[in-house]
Amino acid sequence: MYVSPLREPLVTGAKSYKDVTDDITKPMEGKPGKLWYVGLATALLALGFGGFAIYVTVWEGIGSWGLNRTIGWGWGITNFVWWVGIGHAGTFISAILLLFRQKWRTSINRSAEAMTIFAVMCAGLFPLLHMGRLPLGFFVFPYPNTRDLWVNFNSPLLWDVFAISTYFTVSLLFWYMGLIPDIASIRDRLKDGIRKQIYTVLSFGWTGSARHWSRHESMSLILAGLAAPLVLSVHSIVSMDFATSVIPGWHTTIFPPYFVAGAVFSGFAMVLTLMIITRKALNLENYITVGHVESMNKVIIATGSIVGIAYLTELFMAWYSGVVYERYAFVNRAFGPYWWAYWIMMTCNVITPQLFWFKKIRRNLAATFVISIFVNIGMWFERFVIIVTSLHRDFLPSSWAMYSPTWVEVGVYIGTFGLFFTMFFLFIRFFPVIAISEIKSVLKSSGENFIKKGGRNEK
Amino acid sequence: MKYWKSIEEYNQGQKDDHAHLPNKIQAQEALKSNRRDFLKYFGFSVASAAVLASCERPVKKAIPLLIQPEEVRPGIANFYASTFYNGGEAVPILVKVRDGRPIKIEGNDLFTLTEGGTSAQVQASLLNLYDESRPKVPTFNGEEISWDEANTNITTGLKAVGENEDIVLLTPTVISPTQKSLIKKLSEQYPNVKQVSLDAYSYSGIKEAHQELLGESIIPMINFDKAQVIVSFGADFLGSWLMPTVFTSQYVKNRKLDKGQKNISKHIHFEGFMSLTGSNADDRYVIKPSEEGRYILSLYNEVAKGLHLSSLENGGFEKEVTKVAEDLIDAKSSSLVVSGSNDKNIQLLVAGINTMLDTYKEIINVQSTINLYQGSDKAYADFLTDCNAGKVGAVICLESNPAYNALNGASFVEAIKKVGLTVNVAAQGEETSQFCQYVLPSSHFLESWTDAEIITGMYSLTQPVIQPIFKTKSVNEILLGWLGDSSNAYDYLYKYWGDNIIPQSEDDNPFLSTWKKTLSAGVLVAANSENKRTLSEVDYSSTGKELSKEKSNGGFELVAYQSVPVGDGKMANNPWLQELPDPVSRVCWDNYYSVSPNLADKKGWKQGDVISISDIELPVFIQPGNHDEVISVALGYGRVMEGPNPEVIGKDVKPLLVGDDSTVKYYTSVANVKSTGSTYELATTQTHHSMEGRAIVRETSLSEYLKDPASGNEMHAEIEKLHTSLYDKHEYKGHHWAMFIDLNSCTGCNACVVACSVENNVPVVGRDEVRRSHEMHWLRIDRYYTEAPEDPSSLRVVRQPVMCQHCDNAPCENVCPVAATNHSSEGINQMAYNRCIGTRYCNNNCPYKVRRFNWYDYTGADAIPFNRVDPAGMSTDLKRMVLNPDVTVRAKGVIEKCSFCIQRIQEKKLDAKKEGEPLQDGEIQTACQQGCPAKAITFGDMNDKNSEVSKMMRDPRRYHLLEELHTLPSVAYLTKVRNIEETKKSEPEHKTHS
Repeated sequence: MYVSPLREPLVTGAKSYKDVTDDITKPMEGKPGKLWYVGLATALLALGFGGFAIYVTVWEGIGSWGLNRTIGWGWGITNFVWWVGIGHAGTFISAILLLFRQKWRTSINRSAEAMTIFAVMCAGLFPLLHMGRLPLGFFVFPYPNTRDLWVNFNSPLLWDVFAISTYFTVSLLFWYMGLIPDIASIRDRLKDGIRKQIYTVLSFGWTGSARHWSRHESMSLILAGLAAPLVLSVHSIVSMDFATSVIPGWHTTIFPPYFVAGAVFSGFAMVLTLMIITRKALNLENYITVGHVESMNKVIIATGSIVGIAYLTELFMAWYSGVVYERYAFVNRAFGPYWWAYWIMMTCNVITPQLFWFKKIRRNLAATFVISIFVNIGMWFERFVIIVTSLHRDFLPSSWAMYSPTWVEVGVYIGTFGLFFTMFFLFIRFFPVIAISEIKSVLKSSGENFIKKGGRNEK
Repeated sequence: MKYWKSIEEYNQGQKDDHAHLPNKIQAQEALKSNRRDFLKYFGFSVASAAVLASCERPVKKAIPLLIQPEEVRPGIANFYASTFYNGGEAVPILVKVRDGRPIKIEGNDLFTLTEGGTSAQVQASLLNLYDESRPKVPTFNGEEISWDEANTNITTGLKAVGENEDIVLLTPTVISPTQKSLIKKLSEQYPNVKQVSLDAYSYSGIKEAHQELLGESIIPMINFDKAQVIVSFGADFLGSWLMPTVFTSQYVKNRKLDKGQKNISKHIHFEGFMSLTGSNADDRYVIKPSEEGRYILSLYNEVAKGLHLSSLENGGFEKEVTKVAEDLIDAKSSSLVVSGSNDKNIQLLVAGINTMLDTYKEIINVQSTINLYQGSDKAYADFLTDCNAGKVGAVICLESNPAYNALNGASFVEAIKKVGLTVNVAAQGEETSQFCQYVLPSSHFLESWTDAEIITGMYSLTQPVIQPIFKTKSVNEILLGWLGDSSNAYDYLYKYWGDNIIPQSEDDNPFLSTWKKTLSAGVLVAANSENKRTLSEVDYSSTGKELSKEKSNGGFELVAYQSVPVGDGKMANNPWLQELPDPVSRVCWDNYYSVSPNLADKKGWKQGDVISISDIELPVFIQPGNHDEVISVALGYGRVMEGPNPEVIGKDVKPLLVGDDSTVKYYTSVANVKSTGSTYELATTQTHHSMEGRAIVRETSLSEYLKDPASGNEMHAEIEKLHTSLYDKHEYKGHHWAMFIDLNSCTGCNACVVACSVENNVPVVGRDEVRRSHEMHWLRIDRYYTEAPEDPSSLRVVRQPVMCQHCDNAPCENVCPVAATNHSSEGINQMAYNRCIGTRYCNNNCPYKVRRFNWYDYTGADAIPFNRVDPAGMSTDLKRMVLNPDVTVRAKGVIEKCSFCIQRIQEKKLDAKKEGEPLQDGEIQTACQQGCPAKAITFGDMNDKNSEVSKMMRDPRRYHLLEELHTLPSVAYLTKVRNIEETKKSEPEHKTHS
């Protein structure tokens, strides 16, 4: 393998193969720290609160949300789209970057994929919960039944059902596929006990033979091939919930690419937010280096700029179309009663990420952390702006109304954070956060002497 | 391996004939149960036991009819003719009765004055029948007593009244000839009986004026349909004045532009605040109520000048009304001036103007009287004086509720403390009941036999459609009881009609046949009485002098009006009416002080700021079109709304109007207006009032219309040209239903909204839910203001009823993931409620926002038992009797919307099929259409070339709401045409686009 003497090393600290395994499996061995318990307890508390909010939603009815005759979707669908968007980074990193042979992905793909799965789980909750009659939600599946009823394949909401479930399944498979060699490593490190038995079952009899590796590699490529179009399709389809409608501000052909870019944008922001903390908490600075952060920041600025252009294109098209409703919708976004949401969106998504043009900021962890949070907020408001401000003043002024969430909607949202972080805390405790086998393959991408000298390690 | 049973079978493969019979061994095998079977049976029994145990089966009391009543066929509705009357307006009706319970009220189309029209109150009155809070048993000082006991005690009490003392029968205006005769009999039996009529809204002034003019205290019949120019001074004749249902029906006859009619009447309105009638006017003058007298005086002078007659004292506004006078004179003998004032002088002068204009011929017919509102302010005031002087021995209130209905209820309460015997006969919970010794529950009009003579010679029967639900008796029965007459109300009525009314009829049939015919038809027109009244010469100079002296003192004036939904408040305890948005303000569930935007600005008031006028605190509502110094407020509030949590709705403002003298005036000057600093959120169904330059309501002026019938609607043709599609146009082979709404006929009275709610079991959600924009009405009447809100007189109002538009290219249909909303083969956008999972995607994607979501369990139809949100108590067992069994009661979490009354379409289609005849155009009437007093709604089959709607399809005034979206609605509108000279900038800026 060609070893570059100068390229920034992907793993710093002159790690040996054994060091890698030891470092990465360390958080899983021994007792978890206090911080972990505090984190898990907080997450469970949030989850419990969310559970109560869900109970209220189902028992009392959707009336417990702040929606009304004019605004049929509010925080619920905003959160749905937001979480789905976040769920885009994992697969993008694993599949598309794999196909493009971006080796830096190996340090972050595992956790990004896990994050994807958890985010999609959170996202999936909202379309279910926003239904007026949740127990009848199974009507959306095209199953044969005695009543000769069939679903409506014209409905983007039905496309969502397939898109999200496919995406979830493929992501889960992909993630698990990658985990198998690592689970086997853990299994081998464990002495007898219930844990060993569980990991034995989970490792599917992995022995690390050449044949296993060969199959693993080809399976990974196949799944990557399957997952790559999904990255594009899922959010395109989610965007069609809006794009195929007639509501000014929704009815826009630019939505599919704009949503995909936005999804990758927000997904990377979320990965950054989490990774900056995780690498510190789990002492993985040598594996997730500033170089990784910089690479992700480059993706952020690229996708962020696409999103910014999309915003401007929307404004131009609204003016150029000459349609009164369309024009009004965009004037109302910027200067109507929800102007603040629009300007939060603009600031967080278009202006602050532009700071990443400066290398100093790109490689500054604190700045990156703050900006990544900004992007998360901005992208949430993007969905809020699209959904609520378009709906609240559409065609007939007689029906215009205002919307604000109730505690129940906020509670469900907090609950999904609880779910997400509960899963994440369990994940870092029971599975390796970094793909051990994969990172080993990039360990030697830089000259050993160069790494030993410290390379450009700026941890 | 193969077994054989005989050699033959083995050799020939022949099957044993008895192969299907199990042999002994097989049978034994089968009988042996094994572990699998055990588990199967065990599992089944456990599961079924669990299922059975979990289904609680409520015990339903269903007693079969031993003798099948002749007319009752299960599932088939019967209609009975009756009359709505509750002391205000009277309207002949048809009551739809299904399986023994009345479920809907329609107008009686045989009554020529309404032609089947109704009002919101008529539609809603049905619910008062199923009101749990009605008095159910006779009581004495709160203790239950029997009817016999009550009648005996009361008659004893009446006999004991001293000779010098009066027995006062306090009634609302009695329009029933039978009841009048009973009261007469009562006064024969008890010579000191005196009847005093008390109306909740006084029309004394107009009667006193005609006393002077005709020598008889009457309200003459007014025919708005014969007037070409109508000038109204604050008479809200489309909303609440005298007979709004009749007047609406008459008024719109001259506002329609179909069937070759090329001219519409001109309506000029003077008022201090924005009323329903004012908002329909062509020209509107905003004046202070105290200036009304001088305006009328000025108009008198101008008309007199124009006709070269002698004029009176100067009114001071001659310049302002010159134009109006010209219009009136131009249309002499077909022009009409009316005033809503209760001031005798004003009414007299109005009569003077009408006399000059020859209105007292065709348009105002003095030979025919309106028998409503016979109360006299003076008679009532005298009664109170007598009470206080101890001259009254007994007071019997017959459904008149003076403690609330009288302007000064407190003085009544004070006065009857001195009366020995007090009886209140009440059909509803009444304020008066708590101050009376005896409270006798009277029956709802749907449980009673009586009659009505609404206009001279126009009789209408009231017949019961259900046995009294509680231990109530009709007023006539109660009177008969006191008379000691053992005949029941029906027998008495029958006899009375036979003796007195049938002989008047032109019908020369034997009595029985006419009686039966009337019973079926509901109405009977008696032979014309001879012209007995003549106008006398009146000298108006003293009236003019008096009016010219009236000064408006420059301060604020408060006007109290009857709102369209709640009216005088008699039906305040009716959730359908309380939830009905006011057609002008679109606020429900409260009353409020309406102020103009300028006044609010000046005072720094915002909508919802609570202000106090003489200690009556109400929130401010900003109402464009009000005079800048006028505060308007609705009467009829401050009454208890029963329900799970009884509460007082709004405030009674009558105490503000109490003056020194006995005459009732509905405006007063207010000096003391204070802000309280607190705020109150009004429940409103519309918060934005401008069309934003969008072509939503298209309008034009009459002159433009005559030049080009498509004026104001030019974009329709343009858009029609642009309708292109990749797909072939869908063909509707059978029917293709369509609805037309004539915006020129619609006055915005809201009768359709209630009719729709009753027909389609639309839930009432209560004030808090309306505040959250959760109202459920399938049909709403949008109201927009055009022109500048700060200039009240140039303000124009347009209204538009909006229901599901039944788009042939419906945006809602293709977004439903489960196809719960789809298109019928007859062009109806339909909802399968039990398929709906409640994603609300359809609602989001509906450009008309007519879909309604069941946010909570409003109806009790949800599977979860303890989560009902029903603040108005509409889902109680008794109230549920009003539900239409043909329409599903929707559960929590499903979307609902207008169905074009699919149940009615289906019924008529089946009828036609059974008869083997094609369905006739006009046979199917939707609930809104049938309830409409203005006949603004037309429904029919577009595929029938000769149908009304097909003709309207060719009307150049036709357009569809948001038609540029290519939704292809089946509902169409006809442009509004105003009778104004010039087109102001009313044409929207909005142009079409592709």
